[in-house]
Amino acid sequence: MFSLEFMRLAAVAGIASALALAVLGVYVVLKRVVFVGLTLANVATLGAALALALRLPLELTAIAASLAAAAALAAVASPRRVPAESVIGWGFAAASALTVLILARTSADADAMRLLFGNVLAISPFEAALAAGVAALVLAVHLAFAKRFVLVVFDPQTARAAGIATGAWTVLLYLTVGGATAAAVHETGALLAFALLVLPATAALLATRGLRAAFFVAPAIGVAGVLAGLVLSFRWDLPTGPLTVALLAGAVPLAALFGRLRDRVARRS
Amino acid sequence: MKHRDPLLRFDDVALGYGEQAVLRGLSFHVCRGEFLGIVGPNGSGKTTILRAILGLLRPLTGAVTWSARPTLGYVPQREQIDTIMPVTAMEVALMGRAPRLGPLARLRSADREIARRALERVGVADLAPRLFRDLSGGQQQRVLLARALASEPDLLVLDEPTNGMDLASEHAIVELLTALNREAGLTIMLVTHLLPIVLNAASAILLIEDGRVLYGDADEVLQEDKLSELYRTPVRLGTVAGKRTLVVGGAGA
Repeated sequence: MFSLEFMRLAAVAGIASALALAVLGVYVVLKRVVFVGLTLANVATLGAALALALRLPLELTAIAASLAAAAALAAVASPRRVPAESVIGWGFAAASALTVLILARTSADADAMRLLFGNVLAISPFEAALAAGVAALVLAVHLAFAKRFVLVVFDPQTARAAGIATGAWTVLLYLTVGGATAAAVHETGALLAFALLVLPATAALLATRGLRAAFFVAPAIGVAGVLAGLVLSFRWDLPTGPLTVALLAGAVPLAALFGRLRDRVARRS
Repeated sequence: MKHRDPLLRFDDVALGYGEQAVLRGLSFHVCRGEFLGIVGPNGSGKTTILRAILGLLRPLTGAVTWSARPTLGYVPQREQIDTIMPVTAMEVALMGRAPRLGPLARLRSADREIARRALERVGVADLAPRLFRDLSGGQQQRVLLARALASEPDLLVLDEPTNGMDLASEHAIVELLTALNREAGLTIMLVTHLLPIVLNAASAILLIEDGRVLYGDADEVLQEDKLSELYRTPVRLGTVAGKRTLVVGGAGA
């Protein structure tokens, strides 16, 4: 089936998105801000809707909107009077409503709707290359600065006391989440992008005992989920995105079970 | 007060948030090799002082000056850290090296050796491969202390390091800090709400009570009349096994 070009392109975009989002997901899950991913995905869709309405470049507008939202969320990461989740929820609700309102005033055809909501089986070589490029950039940033990100997420106050600009690092973390999510939404849709951010990281943190292992296992689960989703949806004639999400969701309880069994064995030995 | 080489000076400092001052007229200094205990009840403003020392809060008025910007080893309140992150004790200790290395630098074997020695110094070298979240409160506190020591600090700043500990763990931490100060000459600032914690360890004490401040060498501050006046209740000091003890309430109280 991978002799078909659309399957090869889908595999490239899916694997690239899975690698970047699963690594970022480890931070997002540990920072307890998983809905940042959902909000950024919706803001990317809002950006795409705006681009359709205003005849702007779609991919760039979606990524720019997501990056702007990521920077704004990072800047208000610790509001004093309400929990951070309420600001994230505000962003989600506002972006969803505005997208629908803009589309109501825009003559969007089926192709435009695909561009808006993503379909991994209908992407162009340029879109696959864009997904791979964004993923490579995000992974390079995180490989280079992993120690800083871990320190800032683990204990921001001590990092600040040591002279590290925690605000700037949080903005960079959110920008990479925003960029990777926006690229993935455009290629795979908001649901799969959100699932790739949250589910492989959750499964990896449940299955492994250390942070380093989680950073390797999460992308492996993400890539396995994407490839299995592509193959099985092709064989069973099911929608690829929802099937991939279902497979990744199924991996979470399995990982939890594996983690518990491993802990039990470790305690006995 | 003996005047040696002040590392840090607070001169007539007012501290607060927005326009609202929490503390006013605060003057004290920390000399190299000193052990300063900052003692006050919750809400008295001692964490505000700590934030100013760490450079996280600017004074509303007055001046906070350093003779030379030292390397700070900060030990936060244990409860401040979200233990969900699955990092080992060794990885936590190694975080102490990160600010020294710059964002792109890799950890070298020398950094690992410094972190290992820091864990050894605080008596938890055997816990290095264990997950931080699986450790007891006392063990976590020691690992955080090791992280601060791994940064090779000129000044160690600790925020309520004995919170929630049993008597033995509390004693062990205070003994360890006393040894670091007296044997290794490390300058220490310890913030606590319990005066007995620093009674025998601190060389200088800053007491805060109801916005009033009492500051000086430990021998100057730890006087029955001064403490009784500050706390508005009879305070008696004694000695047991060569160590200061404190009793609140007089004979008739």
